[in-house]
Amino acid sequence: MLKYIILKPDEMYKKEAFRIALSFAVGVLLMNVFNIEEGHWIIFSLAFIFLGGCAHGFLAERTLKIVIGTVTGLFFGLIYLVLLSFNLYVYSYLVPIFFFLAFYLYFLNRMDYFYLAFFISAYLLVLNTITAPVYMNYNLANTIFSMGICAVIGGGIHFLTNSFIFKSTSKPKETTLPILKNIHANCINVFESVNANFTKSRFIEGMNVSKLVSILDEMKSVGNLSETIAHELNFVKDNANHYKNFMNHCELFVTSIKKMTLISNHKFDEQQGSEIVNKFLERVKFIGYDNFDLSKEFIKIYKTSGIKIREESTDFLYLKNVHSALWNMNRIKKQINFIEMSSS
Amino acid sequence: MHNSIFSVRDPDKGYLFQVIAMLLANVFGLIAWGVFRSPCSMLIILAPGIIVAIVFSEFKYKEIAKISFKSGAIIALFFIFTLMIMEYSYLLIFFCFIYVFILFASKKTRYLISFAILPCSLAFIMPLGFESAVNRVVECFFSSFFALFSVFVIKEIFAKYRMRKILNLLLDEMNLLLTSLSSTRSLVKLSDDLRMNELILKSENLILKNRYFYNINFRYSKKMKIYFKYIIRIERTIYLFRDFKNEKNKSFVEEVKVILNMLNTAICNKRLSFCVSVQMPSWSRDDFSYFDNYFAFNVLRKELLKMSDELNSEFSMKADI
Repeated sequence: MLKYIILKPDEMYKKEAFRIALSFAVGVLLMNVFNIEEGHWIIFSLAFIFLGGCAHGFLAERTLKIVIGTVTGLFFGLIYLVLLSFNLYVYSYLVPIFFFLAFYLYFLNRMDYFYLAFFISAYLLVLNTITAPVYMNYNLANTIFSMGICAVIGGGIHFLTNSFIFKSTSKPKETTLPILKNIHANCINVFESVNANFTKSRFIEGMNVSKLVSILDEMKSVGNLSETIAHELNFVKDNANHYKNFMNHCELFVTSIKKMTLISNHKFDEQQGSEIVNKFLERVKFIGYDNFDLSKEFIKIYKTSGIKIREESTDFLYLKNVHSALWNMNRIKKQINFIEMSSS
Repeated sequence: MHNSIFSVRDPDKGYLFQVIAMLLANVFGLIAWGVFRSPCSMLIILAPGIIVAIVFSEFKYKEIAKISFKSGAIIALFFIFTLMIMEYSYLLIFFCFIYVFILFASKKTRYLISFAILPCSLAFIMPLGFESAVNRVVECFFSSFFALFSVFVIKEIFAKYRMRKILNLLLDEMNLLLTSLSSTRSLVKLSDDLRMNELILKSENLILKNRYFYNINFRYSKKMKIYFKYIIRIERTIYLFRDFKNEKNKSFVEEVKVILNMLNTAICNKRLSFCVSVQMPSWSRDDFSYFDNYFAFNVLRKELLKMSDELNSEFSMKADI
């Protein structure tokens, strides 16, 4: 499941659910009150949009893609039926290929609604025709016209509800912050866990793969969302850089942790230096990861302890990466603060 | 074809297999419709594929079955209520609002309803009455079953291919990383890093988390787990390499490349056997300019020997695949 669905604040979650439910209710209302033929296509059009959890950004573009995709897809379905299926019934059984193309092209083109709407519309039209009971009077031209109109109505409902009701919930800008904070918390967690293993000379069996994968997974979600955010109205241009920096520092942090894990598992020339590493880590943890000057703290400890670390030792190598991880963690926090300040 | 859209956006064929499973489920539905005809509707053709889209990323069959039937139940409930109150317009509107709101507001069901709402839309064109409702419930049950069965078939049939493919891609990526590291600069480019991490993420899901039903796949995944475990360690040693331009021992990169190629061949090979038959040179500290490179090469050596031992002991215990 996509991380940004889970990590949204509860309040925003409910607001978004209300907006989606309202869209569907309005669709059903229009369908029933005006007795629109093929009215369920309004609901279909809305269902395309919310496929996979939720929809973020590009409101006008998304709506347009759904409408154009549906209308052209219906036209394509009509051509398929008239030219092939009505002449030879066997062609109707090839219809699952449309379903295949709809989803494969949708995934391949990074969730582009056009392909989904185009092929699913053609698929459902052909399916509708072949599964209709024999006694039913079926006017294909009428059906296609009604379906097209319903797609436009569906798109319109989506556009209006998104524009006027809890509009902040469809903006990724609001949803990225909880993910960013979660990533930062996970970074601290994994950093502390590696250090604990290092100081106690314990072997890290899984090499922290799962923890790092979780951070990377969330980072990927932020990456996708930040691309969308850049196209939002009222977007602060400087934020694009903050998101970019955030990603870079995260990536560097993960690399440092990777190295630290490996070094921790291969402490083959253990010496006195480990003690100073422990002291430094304790001090950093005590002060807090965000409020300290790395070099100052380290020099203070180094001078008072009187222990020398050999430059060519595992401890020194480990310490170098600890420094890099902490520095990146600090920068991650700073980027989050910048983004938070500009959002508020 | 190497740089086609397919190899760039779907390098491990994950999307392709997912859509094939969806297609297979739909074909099962189409066959069922072809056999039973009148009591069935479009629902049995559309719903199985959609349910597959929900469950394909799950790892355990128990979980897959649970979510399949849960999704089926969500669709069935919507059909039952809609068919019951279809005549009462305002009640229907209220029901739709409440049903969609409750399911979208819950973190557990949001993902399910976002897909399931597509087949749910068919409820408005179904014949009314008790018999119709019962038929729809049976269709939902069959849809869940078809989805479960097609996910099972696709996952088991292509399990070996997918595991092999993802590890080969990972090794290729490491090779690329080494090449760019040794030829251009000492720092790893961020895009390379991201691609590598994405592959690790996928490999972890496919090899460590997936539970296979067939013994042959299960055993294969067990051996692949060993490979994965050590490939991760090798990958980390690569990050430790430092400043190639000023490193006097240039040949150790070539040594690592040979190892990566050997691993790639071993994974492509059905027997999955691997041993460090090449005589890895035992360089001393003086052979390297930097301690980092000396340390990384030593670690690599140690890990490869351990891997070779672990794989050989695994082989001696069980018959070949």
